[in-house]
Amino acid sequence: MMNHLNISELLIRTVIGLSVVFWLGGCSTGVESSNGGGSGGSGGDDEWLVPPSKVIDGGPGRDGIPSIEDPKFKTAADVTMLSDDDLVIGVKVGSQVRAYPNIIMTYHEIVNDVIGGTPVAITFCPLTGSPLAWNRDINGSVTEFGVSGLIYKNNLIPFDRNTESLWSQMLLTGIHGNFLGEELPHIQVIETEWGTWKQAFPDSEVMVETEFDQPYDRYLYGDYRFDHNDILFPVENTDDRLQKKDRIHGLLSGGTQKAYPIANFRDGIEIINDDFAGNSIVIIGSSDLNIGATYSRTIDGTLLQFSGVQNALPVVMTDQEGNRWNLFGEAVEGPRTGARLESFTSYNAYWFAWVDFFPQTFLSSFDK
Amino acid sequence: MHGVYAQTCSCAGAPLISSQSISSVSGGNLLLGLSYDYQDISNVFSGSDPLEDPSVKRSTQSILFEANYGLTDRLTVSGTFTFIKKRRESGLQSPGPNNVVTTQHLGDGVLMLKYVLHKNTIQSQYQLAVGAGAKLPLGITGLTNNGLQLNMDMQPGTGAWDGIAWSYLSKTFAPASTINLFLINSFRLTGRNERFRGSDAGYKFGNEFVSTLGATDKLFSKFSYIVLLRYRSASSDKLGDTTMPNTGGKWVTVSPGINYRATDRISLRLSGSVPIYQYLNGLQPTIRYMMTGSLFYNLKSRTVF
Repeated sequence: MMNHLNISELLIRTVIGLSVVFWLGGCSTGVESSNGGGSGGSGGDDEWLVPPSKVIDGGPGRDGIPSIEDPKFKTAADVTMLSDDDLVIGVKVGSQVRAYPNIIMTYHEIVNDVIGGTPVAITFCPLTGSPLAWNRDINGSVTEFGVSGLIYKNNLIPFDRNTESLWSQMLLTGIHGNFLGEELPHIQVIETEWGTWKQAFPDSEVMVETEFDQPYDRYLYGDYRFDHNDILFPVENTDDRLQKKDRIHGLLSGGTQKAYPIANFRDGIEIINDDFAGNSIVIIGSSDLNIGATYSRTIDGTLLQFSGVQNALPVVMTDQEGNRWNLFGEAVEGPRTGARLESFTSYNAYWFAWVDFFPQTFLSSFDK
Repeated sequence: MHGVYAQTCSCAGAPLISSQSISSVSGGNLLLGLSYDYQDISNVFSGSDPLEDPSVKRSTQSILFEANYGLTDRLTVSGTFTFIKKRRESGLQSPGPNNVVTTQHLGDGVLMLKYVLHKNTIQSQYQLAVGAGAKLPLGITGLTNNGLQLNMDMQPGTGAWDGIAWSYLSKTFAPASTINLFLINSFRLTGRNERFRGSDAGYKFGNEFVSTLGATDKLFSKFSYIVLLRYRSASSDKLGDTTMPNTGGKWVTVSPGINYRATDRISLRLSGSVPIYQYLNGLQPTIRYMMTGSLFYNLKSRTVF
């Protein structure tokens, strides 16, 4: 009997004790967080460049989507994990050329890499389909970037590990914290299909492994890439001139924007000598090769007039001086060999995301 | 997402409908229950494949208080109320300190009516009961962190009314055996909350079906065992008309437990639960194990188990 009473008391006290401990711990209802709490921004004030009511906790928490710090590369010719129509993000800094497959970037969204001796953040937001890169040297201080777990207009909000400031990927600007309003030093990327890339840059290095165990062959978001009605978070500004998931190549200059639908470029290489917001630019586009890139066509005070070169990747255009230029805007033949066109702030994105950020966008009306 | 993979963990809620294990109480009787439930959600699965070294781990602790009152010998009204504490620790694979967010608040509740269609008698040794009710959106859904609204799976409540259908079938074999076999099925038709008020979007957790096959029998003295084999299926969540990726899935868990009849009126149960199969839509954090301790008090002198 005594034994039963002891067991009885022990069990009752266990259950009640656990409940009491829990209740006592829970007396202060609400939220506790440490180290930014997934909201980043230790800048010490409440100032935001965007409405904080529009910033959404995506769910994974800060660094819940782990950025890549130790990418492993193979030469393009040795890569077997990619299909020809898989998209890759190509970057060239100095003489080093690297590519980052979107199927891996979808799982990590940010790679902190060093390319050609320059610290570079390669970023990709799978929800807005936007690949962007920038120099990680911010005002003389090299930092790494991580995924904050927050979203603004469906778009990735990275944070820098030095100050925990929050940045908008598509705005390329600090939106909260110490770097509020600071612009990121943009680095041109070429997003194209693997089949195109390996043909153009067979000696380039391709990120094929990471320090993580992830099923990279499985796309994380179902039909998201192709289903125009599949958008995860609210959109404020819509524009029916294109379908929502149509990929565009968008240009930014000050407060002016212009978009070129990639599907509207002609097959092969299309070169558009254009003027935009007071800038003379050249757009390199291809529908079947899935390319969009923009450069200034003024170099050393000379205005170049480009025309397309077909079936000669990575060479895509030539000019009135007889130079031949590659996808990264480098003169590889001719009197200006070694020169590089100044990149123009531009990147690819889904149409719905671009117009949500930039509702006044001028849409190029060219037809295929 | 962005960032949205593993956005809304489909197993981070309080075990509200899984807790509906009391079929009925006699007319005029009151059965009170107090349970503490701990869910460790530190596994990550892609489909049915576990992944190594997750970057996020979560836990949910719940206090469930339930009251069952017999309106008649066949009709029982049940109410369940919860207090929820959720914890999310991220950055496990990244440089720098981990990031921890904890939320705690009153959670949702359940109100149900259960009716015994067939009472267990020595001549016809089975009991069949059915029930229906609603999940009440008592829990808060607007908790913020540094001024930013937290994701739905970190909110203590769901913010939506849900409909619940429930059935209970048990079979005994007296006098040949004291074992009691039972099958409990429940279905939760989820409603939509008003997250992102002002837009067309509203968040809807996936509908949930839970089927539990159980057995309980005397062990020795005042101890008895209980073993549950539970199948749970949750469809994907929706935001507006959009199906949220990486939500929903199927789980099969086994739950052994010990019951102890402390007095004629007080009973206790300690049980654990581990998944033996799970298939997650996309990539999600998921349950690793669950521990539950329950204390039941019966107003009239009649044992619960």
